Amino acid sequence: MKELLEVIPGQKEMPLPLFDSERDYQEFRRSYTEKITPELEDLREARRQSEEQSKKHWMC
Amino acid sequence: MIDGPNSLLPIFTFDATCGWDELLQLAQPELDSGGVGRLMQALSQKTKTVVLERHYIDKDYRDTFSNFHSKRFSTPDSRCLRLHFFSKAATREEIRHAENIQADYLGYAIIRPTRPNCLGRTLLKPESRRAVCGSMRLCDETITLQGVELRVRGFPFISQDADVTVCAQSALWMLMRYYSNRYPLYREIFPYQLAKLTEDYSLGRVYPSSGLYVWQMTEALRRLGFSPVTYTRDNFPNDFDHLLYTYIESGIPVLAATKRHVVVAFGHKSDYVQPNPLPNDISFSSQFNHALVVNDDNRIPYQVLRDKKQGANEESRFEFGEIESFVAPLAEKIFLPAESFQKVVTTILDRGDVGYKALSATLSAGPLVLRLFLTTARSFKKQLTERGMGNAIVEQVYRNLPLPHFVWVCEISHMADYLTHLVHGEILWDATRNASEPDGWIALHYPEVLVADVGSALNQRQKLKKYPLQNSKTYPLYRSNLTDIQL
Repeated sequence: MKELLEVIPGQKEMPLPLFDSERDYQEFRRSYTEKITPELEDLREARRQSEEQSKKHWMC
Repeated sequence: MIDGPNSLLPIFTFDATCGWDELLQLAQPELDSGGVGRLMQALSQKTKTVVLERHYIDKDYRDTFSNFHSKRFSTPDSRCLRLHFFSKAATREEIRHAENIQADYLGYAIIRPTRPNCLGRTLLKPESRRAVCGSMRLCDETITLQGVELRVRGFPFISQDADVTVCAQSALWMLMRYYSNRYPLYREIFPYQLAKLTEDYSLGRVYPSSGLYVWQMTEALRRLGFSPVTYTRDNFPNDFDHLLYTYIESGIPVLAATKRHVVVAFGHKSDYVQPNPLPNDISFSSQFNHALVVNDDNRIPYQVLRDKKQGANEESRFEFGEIESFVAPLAEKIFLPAESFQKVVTTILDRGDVGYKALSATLSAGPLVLRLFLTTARSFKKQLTERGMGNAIVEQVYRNLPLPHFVWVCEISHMADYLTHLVHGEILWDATRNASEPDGWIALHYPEVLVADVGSALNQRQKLKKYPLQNSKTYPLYRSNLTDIQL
C-alpha cells in the first residue's frame, strides 16, 4: 500500500505537513540527532558502568 | 472456636479462647513461633477465620524437597500445611459455596516444614493489611479449597528456606511468579529451577546457596526471556529514585538491592500535594512519591519502604537512600529505556520548532508536570473513549493509527490540574526505537495541535502531520498499569 490511508475516515480538512519544506524537515532531524546523541552516549555509559558494578554487588 | 481440630480441614475462628497461640498449637508441626509471629503481624487486624488444609502438596516446596531436602539423612515431611484466611467468621457449611466466602477471602499461605523459615508460597490481598495502601501491580490466582474455587489478587511472596533459596532466589521467585501468573508468555518456574539457572555462571557450588551477585540475577532474568536493565545509584546520582519510580509507574516490578539484601518493589505511595516552592519550568510526577510497596522475603508481604524511615509497624527496615541498585525486567520488545525516553521528551519539549513554548499558549502559561510511563497500545486504546483525550480528533487519530505493542507515554499537565489527576496532552514514542532517531515519534499532543507520524504507523517513511485542535479540554490521566488500594 503506497498511498496514505485516511487516518480519520471522511475527514473534510486534511492534516497539514508539520514542516513547510523538505529542507526544514531535514534540518529538524539533523539538529535533533546532533543535540541528543552525546547526551544519550553519557546515559549509555552510566548504564554500562551500572552493569559493571553489579558484578561485585553480592546479595545473600 | 475450632471446628474439627483433628480433621483434615480444621476451621479456626478467633474468639476469646482462640488466639494466635492456639493457632500455633493447631498448626503443628509445620508452623513455628517465628512463622506465626509474621502471620500475626500481617493479618491480625483483618482475619476472623483460618482454614487449615492439612497434607497439602505444594508445587514449590515439592520442587526443593525432591531436589534438595530429600537428599538429607534426616528428611523433613514432603507435605505442607496451607492456611486460608477469611475476614469473617466462616462455618464449614459456608466454605462449601464460593459465593458465601469469596468477598471475605484474604488469601493463603503455605507453611513448609523448613527451618528457620516456614513461610512458603503466599498470596494475600493487599487489603488484608489494614495499614498498607498505594498504587500496586498485582496478579490473579484461582485456588480450590476442597473443590470450591476462590480468587485472590495480590503480589506473590515467599520466604527463603536458607538452603536452596536465600533472598536473591526468593526475590527472583516472587518476580517470576507474578509474571507467570499474569502473562502466559512466561513459564512458571520453581525455586530449585531458579537456583539451577545460574549454574553456568557461578563460581563454586550452586546450592546450598550463599547468595547471588546482582548480575547473576539479571542473567537469570535474561534466560527467562526478559531484556533486563540495571541501574546503580552511583551512576545515576540525580535520577535514580525517579527512574525506579518510572518503571514501577509503568507496571514493571523491579528487583531493588540494598547493600546485601534484595526486595521486589511493585508499587508506590504518592501524596498529590502542591510542593512549596513550585518547581520551575518542568518537573516530574515522581516528586509526589514518598514510598514504595515491596515484598521482602525476611519480613511479611506488602512492606512500605519510605524515603525516610518513620518506625511504623508496616514499614520496611530500609529507606530510599539504602537502595544501591535496581534491575527492571523489561519485555523483549522494549528497546528504549526510561532515561533515554526522558531525554527524548525533554529535548522535544524544549525545541524552538515543536516545543511547547512554540506551539502551545496553554502549556506555556505555567510550569509543567510530566508523568512518564510505558504501556501497551492495546491498554492505551482501551481507555480512549472513557478518557476522551480532550478532543475528538485526538481520540480518533489514536484509535485508528496502528501502534507498536509497547509505547512510552509522557503526559503533560500543569501543577494544579495534575493534583486533580487531569492532563492537557501527551507525547507518545515508539518503545522499539533507538532514541537518537527522530522516527520514534508517534504523536505529540498539545491542547492546540496534534502532530502525528502517519508514515511510520504504516511502516513507511516518517510523515509528520499537523491536526489543528479547537476547544480542547483537560482529561483524566491514564490509569491501568497499577491498581489503587485504598485504606
